[in-house]
Amino acid sequence: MKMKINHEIRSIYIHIPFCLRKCPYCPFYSRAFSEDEADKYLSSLEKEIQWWKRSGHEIGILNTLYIGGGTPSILTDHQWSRLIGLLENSFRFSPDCEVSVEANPESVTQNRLFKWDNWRVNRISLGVQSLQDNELKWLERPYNRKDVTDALDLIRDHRFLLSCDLMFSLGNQPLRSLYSTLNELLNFWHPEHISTYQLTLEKGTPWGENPPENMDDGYAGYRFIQWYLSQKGYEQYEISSFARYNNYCRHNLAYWDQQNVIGLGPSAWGYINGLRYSNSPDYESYVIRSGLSESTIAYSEFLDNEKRAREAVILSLRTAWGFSISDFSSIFGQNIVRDILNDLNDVPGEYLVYDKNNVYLSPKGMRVGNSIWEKII
Amino acid sequence: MKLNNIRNFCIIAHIDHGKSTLADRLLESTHTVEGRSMRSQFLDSMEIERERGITIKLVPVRMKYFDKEGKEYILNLIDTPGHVDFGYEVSRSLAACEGALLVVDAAQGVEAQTMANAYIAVEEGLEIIPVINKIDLPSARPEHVKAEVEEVIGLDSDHAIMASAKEGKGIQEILDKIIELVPPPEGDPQENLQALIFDSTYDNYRGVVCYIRVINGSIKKGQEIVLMVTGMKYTVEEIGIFRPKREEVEELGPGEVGYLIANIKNISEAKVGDTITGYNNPSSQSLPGYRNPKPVVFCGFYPVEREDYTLLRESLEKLQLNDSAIDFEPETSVALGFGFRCGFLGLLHMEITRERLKREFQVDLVATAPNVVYEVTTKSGEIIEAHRPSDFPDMGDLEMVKEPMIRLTVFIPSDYVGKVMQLCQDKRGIYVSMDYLSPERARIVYEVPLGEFILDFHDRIQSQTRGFASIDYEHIGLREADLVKVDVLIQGEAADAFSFICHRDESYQRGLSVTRKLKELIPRQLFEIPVQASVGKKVIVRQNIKAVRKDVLAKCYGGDISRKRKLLEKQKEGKKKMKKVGKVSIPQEAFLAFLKVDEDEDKS
Repeated sequence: MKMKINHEIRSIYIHIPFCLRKCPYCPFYSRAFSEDEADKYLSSLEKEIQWWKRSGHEIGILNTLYIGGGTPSILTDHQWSRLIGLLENSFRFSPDCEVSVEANPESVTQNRLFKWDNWRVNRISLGVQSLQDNELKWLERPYNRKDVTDALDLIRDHRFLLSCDLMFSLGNQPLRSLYSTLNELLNFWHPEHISTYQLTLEKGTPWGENPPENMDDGYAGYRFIQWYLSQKGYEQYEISSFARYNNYCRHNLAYWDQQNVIGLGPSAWGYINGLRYSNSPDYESYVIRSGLSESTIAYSEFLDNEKRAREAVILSLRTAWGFSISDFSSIFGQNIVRDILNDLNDVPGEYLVYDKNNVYLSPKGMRVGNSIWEKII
Repeated sequence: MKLNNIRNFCIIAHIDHGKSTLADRLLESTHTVEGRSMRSQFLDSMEIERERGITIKLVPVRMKYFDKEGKEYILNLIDTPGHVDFGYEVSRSLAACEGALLVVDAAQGVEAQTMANAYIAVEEGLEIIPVINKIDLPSARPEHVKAEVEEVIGLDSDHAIMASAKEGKGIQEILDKIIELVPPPEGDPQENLQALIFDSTYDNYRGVVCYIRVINGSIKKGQEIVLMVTGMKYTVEEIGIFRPKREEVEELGPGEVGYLIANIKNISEAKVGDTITGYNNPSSQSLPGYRNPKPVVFCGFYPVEREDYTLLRESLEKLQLNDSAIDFEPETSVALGFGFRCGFLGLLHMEITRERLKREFQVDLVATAPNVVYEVTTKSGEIIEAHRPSDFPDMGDLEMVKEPMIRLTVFIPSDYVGKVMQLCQDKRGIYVSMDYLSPERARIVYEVPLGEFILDFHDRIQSQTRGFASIDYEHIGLREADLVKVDVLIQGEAADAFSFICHRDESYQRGLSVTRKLKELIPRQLFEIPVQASVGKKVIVRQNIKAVRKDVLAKCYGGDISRKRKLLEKQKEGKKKMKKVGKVSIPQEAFLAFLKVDEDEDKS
């Protein structure tokens, strides 16, 4: 992967801050869905987009648009029409623009899918998590196995690229249960893309404060996924991402490649030429500030060259191809790249591969990424 | 005052047998302190003393007493510390007396320190008057205890007094017996001056205040004096007596007890046990019994906040002004930073010092586990005083190691004999004797290495005997032992902070427990880490810390990169605090756990 320097904004993330209800481990911002609040939210989003247009930032022809959350699929048909109209009026899209929508099984409907299909949506990221009823219940997901398989069937009737989110390292989850979820998913719906992630307990979530019992370190599940998916023709192109036929998530690659991305909606993050910002953290402050036609940015930091370089190395090391020493040297300067390589000096070769000009993590290295990245930070 | 009308006496007792209460009653009934200014434990002026009900610092007091015929007497009460750590101070204050009240609790009976103190008094040639105290208690068995005094200690208890200091019973009788039985001091006012320093304190305005007992000759203001141990010369600025506050007098003659201020700047110049004599007419002989109390128990004191280091040093210096037995020198520790290695007379002395630092100087402390000093002889004949394992030579150069021993006396209800003997045995104790004082009570004597004793003996014996054990000990010098230095190697590199000294027979067990502990405390790293314990070149235990296998942030999208970065920074920050031994990062907790540090934990 070649490093590009792009000062235009060609990626947008939109955070839809509503869910049917909150899962006990989820650290992302969302609140219980109400039609009235969602209407207000869409009005605020419109104002926020207007602010960006006035701000003088050049928003180019979009390469990627990612509508995430929360649960974007929870908006009503009418609200989706409104959102689509707003986006069509505000932005230009390249013909191959990747437009992803996150959906949860309980709110995937035929109508919704037709609406997305008739617009530009070409990729659906479905929050599957598991195909086992007992695990879905344990995770307190608001749907059951039947809802998931119905949603998968419906989605597969359309032309979308399908990405499935799966969770592992659930309390008392035997390996064969993880196997049967993966096996069934691949056999019946063969998704183009799979994101797996380990159940992580974060501060500020109910489970972060009162952890459930029998959590393991995630090693067995992760190792199995790495092995199994590669058997089935999936490439692990990033720590938690697997794809068939190069169906990488281009929007996420934009983050890992330090491309400019604006984040819209409460608690969304964005990055523009070294400036990283986050929006008002909650619905209330977001609605108030955008209502005043103010910027909704609540926090920002500017990364100097060294910080940017270190972050670029860390992010690129999430990917299977890592980074090119010569490319990074020409972007950030030789000295800083040399310093970073120095910091990585004592990482054993079985974790970090030096392939001529390229440096990347081995599958084993991906399992212990934190221990390696912390040397660079 | 004629010598015949002076009585110098002290009160000796096991802890909690009512010594301070008895002293209070004596002060009251001689009108030395009037009722309204009376508070309990009057002579124990330090907060800790009053709280713990113990006496650390001696306060002598002069009382006036009129007998039945109206004849006036001076009674000097010299209070003594009750604990073995202060044994030397006890013996010096006893040397300033001719008699002693031996207070024994009528319910508890004779205990370990009753014996120890009584024997010191016997050694000093004092007249001992047994006082059976607390006869008001329902569980009191005064006749039984009286018999015990006779049988166990071997004192004639015919003239023992039955008393209850709490209820004021027997106080008059005690005063009368003091006059009757305690011999008046002997001494010659015409002789050259000889006075014993039996204690001293530091006064911020006046310098050192010496507590003295004049033996021969007399001392007055303006007189030039010499301290015989140091040979230093001073001019007396003030002399006086304690009533119990300082009260200036013209002159102190033979047999009298009081204080002396002579512009002495440093307490180490006026050593307990030293003899004061005149500069012009010096005595040819010093009084018997000066020795420099030697610290036997050592530990590290470190400030909790690094910037409190100076405060800690200044506080120790100030404490030393009052307590010359404290010894300290700067020390650094991998885990704790800058601090001091301090020497004490014993565990209680150590705890009290720590507590005084906290209370009187507001220093928050971390104290390391106490240890003793070994005497190591090398093959080349060199003798090393080894404070730390790192002071030990290579095992190959080691000829002989000697460790300090104590003779331990334990009084216990007979039911616990087996348990206590087992504990002493576990602590490498050597059996000396065991006898029954009565069918219910036994006395066990063992010789035990001090290093084993200070580890956790006290806690263990009290928990195994439900607090019924009473303990006393005396130091009996160094003895050869088969001790080895166990090194801990982390990935082949010796980690000094974890090495320790133990008996050869225990080296495997202790090596195992240390390496296990380290295995628990050292986080997995990117490579396998062998942790070994070795004696000399020989590895006796090996454990492996496996390489980390899973450590990764699962998901990173939605642009929350800053947040992830902060998490990584935090993880890194945590590791920064770790110390590196070779390539291996070792967390602070590992060092702390090994030092068995207890912070602000009361063990009274």
